[in-house]
Amino acid sequence: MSRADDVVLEVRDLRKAFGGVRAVDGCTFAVRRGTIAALIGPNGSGKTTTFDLITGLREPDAGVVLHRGENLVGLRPHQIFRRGITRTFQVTRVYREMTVLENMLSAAPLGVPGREARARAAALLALVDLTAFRGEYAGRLSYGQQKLLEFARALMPDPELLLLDEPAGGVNRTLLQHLLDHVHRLRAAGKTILLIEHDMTVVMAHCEWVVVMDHGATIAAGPPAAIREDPRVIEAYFGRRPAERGA
Amino acid sequence: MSAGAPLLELRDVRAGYGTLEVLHGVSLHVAAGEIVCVIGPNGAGKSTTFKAIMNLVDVRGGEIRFAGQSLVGVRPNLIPARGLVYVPQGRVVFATMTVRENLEMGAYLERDRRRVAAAMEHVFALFPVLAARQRQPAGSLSGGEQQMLAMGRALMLRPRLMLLDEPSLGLSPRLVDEVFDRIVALARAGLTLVLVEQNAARALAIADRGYVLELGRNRVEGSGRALLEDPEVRRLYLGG
Repeated sequence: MSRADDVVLEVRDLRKAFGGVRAVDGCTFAVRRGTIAALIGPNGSGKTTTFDLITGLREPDAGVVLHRGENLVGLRPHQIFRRGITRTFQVTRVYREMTVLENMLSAAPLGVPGREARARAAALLALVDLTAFRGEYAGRLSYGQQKLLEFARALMPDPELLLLDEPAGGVNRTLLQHLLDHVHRLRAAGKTILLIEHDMTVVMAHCEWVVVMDHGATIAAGPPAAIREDPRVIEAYFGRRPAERGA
Repeated sequence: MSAGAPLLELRDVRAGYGTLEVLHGVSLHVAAGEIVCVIGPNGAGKSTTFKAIMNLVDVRGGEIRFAGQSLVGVRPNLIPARGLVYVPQGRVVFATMTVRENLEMGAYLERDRRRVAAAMEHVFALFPVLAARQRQPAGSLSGGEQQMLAMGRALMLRPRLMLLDEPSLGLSPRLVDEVFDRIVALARAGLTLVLVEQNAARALAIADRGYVLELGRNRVEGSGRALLEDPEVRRLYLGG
């Protein structure tokens, strides 16, 4: 990271234990403004817990989370949301008893007129192919559709930093391509995206920076081509080299 | 298709939730010993098809037959006794119970303890990692191990056919390899499998046949290879 003002998010030596399990155990990385970055690692390596610590859903035992140089630790999730940081969840958390449109409006920023919020919601629902379901209860959507609703809802407040937890999981490949096109448009507009993803075609083709976690700690960070060849990453994560996997 | 009646057959099935109809006439058939894959866009009705087979949603029309008998109106908890089991998406295990207890729960219709013990040995032979972790709480397993436990639990009643919903969802590449290897091994051991997968290219590569659903209706069907090579299917569903 060359210049400090380039860095929109930095976590330093983050730690969080649940009982005897050290879920996050020395996580350190930085993400530059206007990039698409990925956080990868084996199941159970602490990626989602790291998102929880960044967004205030859990408080770290140690370490700091810096957003534009200011420490977020101790802030409540809604305070972090108002700073322009939004996220999606691996296991979807839509409001099941509310309609799709109501879910969208729940994330409209304070002070935005209702008509404007509805127009924005309509545009985002069109982006994720959910226009026909706007009056349906969110709990009746399929898992993949709930993921799409969360993606659209996270974009409602026009966030500066978007954290996506497995955006490709359960989403059809062709629609996923549309979402990724939109992610690139967001980046072109100066937004920053950090995503957790197991789909390596997404990570390798769309991310400029990849951070790798294993057993709660960051073990590598760099551009995708370097990460793919890193022996520690192959050992911890891929198991076999991509060429051997035949997929 | 081998000769004779299919093991599982759906004819023009309509089903949904409350006022929402999701399936507007889905038909498919599965012969004994096949791996059949169901793919399609989000909201196509793939998971709802499985739930209709298991009578977990309102089935409003059509016919669902397994081993020559209708499943329409059969209570979901009694369907596994007929040899048909369902593994929902999302690695649904009893997190606070041990691996062994989860497997025992899978044998809930079996009263003969020796048969339960034999089934457990069979599952441990297929998934050695579960034997090694049998006294651990299921919640402490990795994602891939939990998926194997969910599959192992469904195997405790020695089914003839397994419905498997998105087995690779949320798994790292290494674990996806393991889970697909296990699926192929199960098929070789004689189990008939129907898979729903967003990782469609991967699923079609191991499938004998596949169905593409769209908006609750059949769109295309064919051999796994034919669907993988179909330019229209590639463009619309496999991302190019």
